[in-house]
Amino acid sequence: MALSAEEIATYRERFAIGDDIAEIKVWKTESDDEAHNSLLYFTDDACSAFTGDKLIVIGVGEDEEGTLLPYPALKDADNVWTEFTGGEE
Amino acid sequence: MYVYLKPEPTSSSPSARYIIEAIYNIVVNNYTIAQCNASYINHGQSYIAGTRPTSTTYTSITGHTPMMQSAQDNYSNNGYCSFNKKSYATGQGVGAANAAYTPSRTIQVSYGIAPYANSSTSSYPHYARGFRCNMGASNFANFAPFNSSSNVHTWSTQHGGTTSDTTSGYRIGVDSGADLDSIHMIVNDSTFAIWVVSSGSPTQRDHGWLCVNDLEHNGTYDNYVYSGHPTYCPTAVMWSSTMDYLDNPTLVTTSTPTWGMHMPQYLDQEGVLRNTSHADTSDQYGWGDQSTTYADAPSIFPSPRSNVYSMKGTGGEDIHPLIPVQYVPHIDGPQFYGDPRQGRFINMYRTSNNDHDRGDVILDGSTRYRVFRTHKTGHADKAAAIQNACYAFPEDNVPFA
Repeated sequence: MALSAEEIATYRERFAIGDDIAEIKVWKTESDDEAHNSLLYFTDDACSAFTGDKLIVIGVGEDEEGTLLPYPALKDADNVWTEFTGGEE
Repeated sequence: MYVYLKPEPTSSSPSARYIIEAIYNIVVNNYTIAQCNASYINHGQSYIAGTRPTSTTYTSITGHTPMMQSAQDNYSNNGYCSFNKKSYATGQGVGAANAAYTPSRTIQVSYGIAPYANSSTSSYPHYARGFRCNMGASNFANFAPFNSSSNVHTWSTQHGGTTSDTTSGYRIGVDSGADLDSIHMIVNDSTFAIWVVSSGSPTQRDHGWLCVNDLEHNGTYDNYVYSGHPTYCPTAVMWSSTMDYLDNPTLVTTSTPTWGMHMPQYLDQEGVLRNTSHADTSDQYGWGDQSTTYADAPSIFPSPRSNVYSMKGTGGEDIHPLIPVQYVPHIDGPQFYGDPRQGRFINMYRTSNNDHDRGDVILDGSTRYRVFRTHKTGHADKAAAIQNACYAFPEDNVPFA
């Protein structure tokens, strides 16, 4: 399962994600802990992150050869984030 | 307070981290000029004027004090820091939730060379150079001008990582004190503004301006939205970069001007958290072009493209207006996704074009305003604009009243 083109377009519009971001992935959580919503909790790696309520969108660009740059490594010490791959919530 | 930093003109590449360290320590740790490293900051020509912000407004972020970010730490000619800026209205508002009203933004400041977006390639387009800043939400995400948690880009949205070096036309300085003429800052409860000028003759200097400014507090709406959405903060960022000609005594166009602004994490009318759109090289995103296409992008009034002139007083003297800058969340967008939170940028004023040099003072009674000359203005096409827009900020801190 993967995000549909329509879902990707919706996230891109909602967070004004520019064309320099070649691909996005979405994570969701049920946690109400504000600390879990911080990118500093989510990963130690440099990245482009966009957030909503209980939602993190990570975008990555491409290098000069058109190869996708790596997604950041998740820390998520409390294991509260799950990648959302589309479909009914 | 107004801060004028003159980097040591003879200092070379390793000075980048010490220049950033000086900025950080002045803003967060209440340093004086005398406490900054004299090898990298010229004590004779640098100064701080006006009263300091409230001590709790600018605070550190664990792991992001100067020289502590791993992505950039290995580069001797790079400096990085980030810190939080709380709203000037912290603890204010109506209702019982006042004490819980603590919205904030995150600000990043970097100078020098650093790799772009986790790239391990050392080729030129993968490295950012020059001075650069970002503002993001309190959760260390949703940054602008360029959404990078490591703040690797050039002054504006532009960054490397393409097939050619796209950054040189948007770069302010390179990596040393010798590459910078001066750094100017307003550091107040409501405002963090920074203006960096590269070295060279008046027709060579490049200018970068970034301003993080609070909206005038709306104690009902702001407190309500913040109580349910902790990344909400009625504080936006504006920026511009101008190559070569902002200091030119002759008013001429500049080749690659940028102007942009961003309000991350606003709540639309349907209750959805969103980020505003921006494209700082375009005239269609809030610059004020009459045929603005992306009308759901935010802007300001007076619009960036609009001229503001001085007036004549009874003795023939010039009177420089102090026009409160308004937040225009969206113009005439067809959708209901725009930011409904209109308001005034507190303690931020547009004043007359062209007439002011760096850090000039406008006196209104006994109140001193420092003027920042920030971008070209006066034309729907920013690349055809020749006049110089100026903004004024109170020199003294203005606490919530």
